[in-house]
Amino acid sequence: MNEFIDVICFNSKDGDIYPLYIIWENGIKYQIDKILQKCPAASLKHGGSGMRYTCLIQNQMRYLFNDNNRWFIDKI
Amino acid sequence: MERVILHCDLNSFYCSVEILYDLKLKNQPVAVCGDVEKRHGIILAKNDVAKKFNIKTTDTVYEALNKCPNLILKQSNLKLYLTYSKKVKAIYQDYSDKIESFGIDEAWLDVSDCLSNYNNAFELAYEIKERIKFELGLTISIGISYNKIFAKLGSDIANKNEIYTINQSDLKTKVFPLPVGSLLYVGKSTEKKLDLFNIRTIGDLATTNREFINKHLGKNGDLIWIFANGLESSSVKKSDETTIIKSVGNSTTATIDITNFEDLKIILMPLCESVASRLKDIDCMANCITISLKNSNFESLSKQITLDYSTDISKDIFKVALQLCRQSTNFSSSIRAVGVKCSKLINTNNYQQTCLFSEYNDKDKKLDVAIDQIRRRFGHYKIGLAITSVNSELGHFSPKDDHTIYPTSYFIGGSK
Repeated sequence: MNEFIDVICFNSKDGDIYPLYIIWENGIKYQIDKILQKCPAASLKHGGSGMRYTCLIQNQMRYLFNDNNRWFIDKI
Repeated sequence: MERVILHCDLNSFYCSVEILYDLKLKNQPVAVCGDVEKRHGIILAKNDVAKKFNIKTTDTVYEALNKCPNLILKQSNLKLYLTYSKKVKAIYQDYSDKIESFGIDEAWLDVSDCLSNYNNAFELAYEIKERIKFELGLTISIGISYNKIFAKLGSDIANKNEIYTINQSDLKTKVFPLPVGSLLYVGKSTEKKLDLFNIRTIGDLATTNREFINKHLGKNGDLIWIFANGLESSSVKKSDETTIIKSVGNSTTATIDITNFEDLKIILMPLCESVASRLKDIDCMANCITISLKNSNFESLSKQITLDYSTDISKDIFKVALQLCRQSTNFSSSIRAVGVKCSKLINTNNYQQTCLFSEYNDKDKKLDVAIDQIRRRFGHYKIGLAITSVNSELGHFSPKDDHTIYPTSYFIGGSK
């Protein structure tokens, strides 16, 4: 089963959700520098499916999933 | 123009969703089962590894564990499966508005109108298959054909995550050699009957005289003859079309075997309340009440009565159902499962014909409506009849909320 993480998001007036920061297990807050892509997808590493955000975090590319309003990170 | 119909069947649906959320299970024997403690412990779905151990859907958990002691059992999570079913249907809706569900994991799609964007139907089916795999992580088998029956046959033949096409010209080569039992609506008993006439393949059935089949198998025989010859032409129902509801029923397996009428009443009451509430939801009243009982030897019996009045009141339904139960059993063997069904429905549209000679009890209806309103706002268990609290183990269930999947019949699609 996935381990979920806390995420700080921006909810636009159009109803879109954009993740801004992720809060890692150790409590450290990381800024999402850029969202490169957003599409529905299944997670092949951790399991589950939902809206997948391809994010650039400190020059590392990571998949951030929103599965039914719960977030988790998948390695690329 | 020849129609193009897809039949999409999600592979081991319940199991695939469970594995999606626990990828470690991927190469292990996994089965999804009902709640063993509530005695719903039968296998509902299994993955390919479990299939190798000859585990079958409807096996009891005990049987399944005997066949494969290492079997990993997952308790069914219907809410999650329904969420995924909806997500899959949303993908289908990108390709057609004619989508007819056949259970939670199967659907027919009439894609004749959107083929102009693709080179052929296979390309379109491949796109749907890949999208479901990518977006939801589930695999799907797709049958492509010119009618619903052969599309379904195609998806049954197709291996996991594959597409199988049956064109009109393939009838003799691809369809006729198949065993007759692979046809929709040819069950074990029909297969046995056909075997007596040496009809073993679909080709045998198709080339047999139609009147002969009709004579020996009746209306159903005529239907399967039409299916075998590829003459079935019913349309795929639009997804927003509503179906005419013919009956409303609920059934449950009791947590303990029932051996007396007092216990039977406790389990009957919530069932009658649920049926009455669902009747009111669809503005219908019923003329016919049926009860079904299954004893501990898994023998079923049902009894029905046609009333000279219509009702949607739980108390009325309960009285009649109890009377039917009294006529049906003396508890020589204990009762395991109970069902109540109301049929011969008439639409009230807020009007109703009162009975000419007996008084219509407005008070009971008002009570039902009030209870329903309280339950809708605050939850099912916030109010209930005292009888259900006598034995809370038996009476603590909510058929209306728990029962969310409605059995689908091929005929609902308007074919017959």
